[in-house]
Amino acid sequence: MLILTRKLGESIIIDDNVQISVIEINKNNIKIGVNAPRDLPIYREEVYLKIKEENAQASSSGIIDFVDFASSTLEV
Amino acid sequence: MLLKTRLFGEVSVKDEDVIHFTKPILGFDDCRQYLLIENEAIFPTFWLQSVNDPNLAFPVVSPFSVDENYSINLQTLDLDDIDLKSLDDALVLTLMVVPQTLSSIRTNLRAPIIYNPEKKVAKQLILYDEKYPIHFYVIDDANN
Repeated sequence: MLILTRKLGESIIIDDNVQISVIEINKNNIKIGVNAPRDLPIYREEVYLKIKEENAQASSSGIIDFVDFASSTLEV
Repeated sequence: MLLKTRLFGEVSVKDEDVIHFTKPILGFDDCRQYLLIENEAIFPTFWLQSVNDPNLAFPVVSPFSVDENYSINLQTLDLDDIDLKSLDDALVLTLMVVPQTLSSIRTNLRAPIIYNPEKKVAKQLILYDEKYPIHFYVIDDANN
C-alpha cells in the first residue's frame, strides 16, 4: 500500500480527476473530502462490504412454498 | 437459447428479454445479463435470473410494496447510463434475502436496482442517503 503523509488542508490527486483532501482532524477521526467525477461510485468501506454480503445472501435465496407462506403470514 | 436454471428448470432466453446491467450487482461483476422472471404461483414472485450463470438468481420486490413511504432522490446523472430521462420511467426493484426462516425474509432498501424496461438496461445503485436499511424485514415487525 502506498502511504503518504498529508497535513490539514492538503490533498492527493489520483489520475487527473480525483482529489482527496484532509478537511478536519480530530482525536479519533478525520474528515475527508473527495472531488471526483459524479459517475465514480464512492462508498464507506463497511457499507460497500455489507451490500456485497447482502447481495451474496440474496443469491442463495430459495423459493418458498406458497401454501406454507400463506399459513405463516396468518400467524403473524 | 435454453437455460438450465437451478430454480426454474429450463428457461428459454429470447434476446429481446435480456436485461443488461451497466453497473453490476455488487460482487457479481461477471454476471451482467438477467431475465426478469414472474411467477404468481411461487414466493417470491419476481426473480432476476442470470443468463451468464444458470445457478444464479435473485428474488426481487418492489420497495414501494413493502414500504409505502419509500422514495429515492436521484440526480439525472444517475439515470444517464441507463438511458432514462426521469425516474418515473424506471422500474425500481430491491433484492430480497429469502432464507428458510420466514421471519428473516428481508429486502435491501439501501441498494435498489434501477431498471429501464424500454431499453432493457439496469444497474444497482447504493444510496448515499442512510435512512433506508440494508436489512428491511418484510414479514414481521422486526424493523421496529
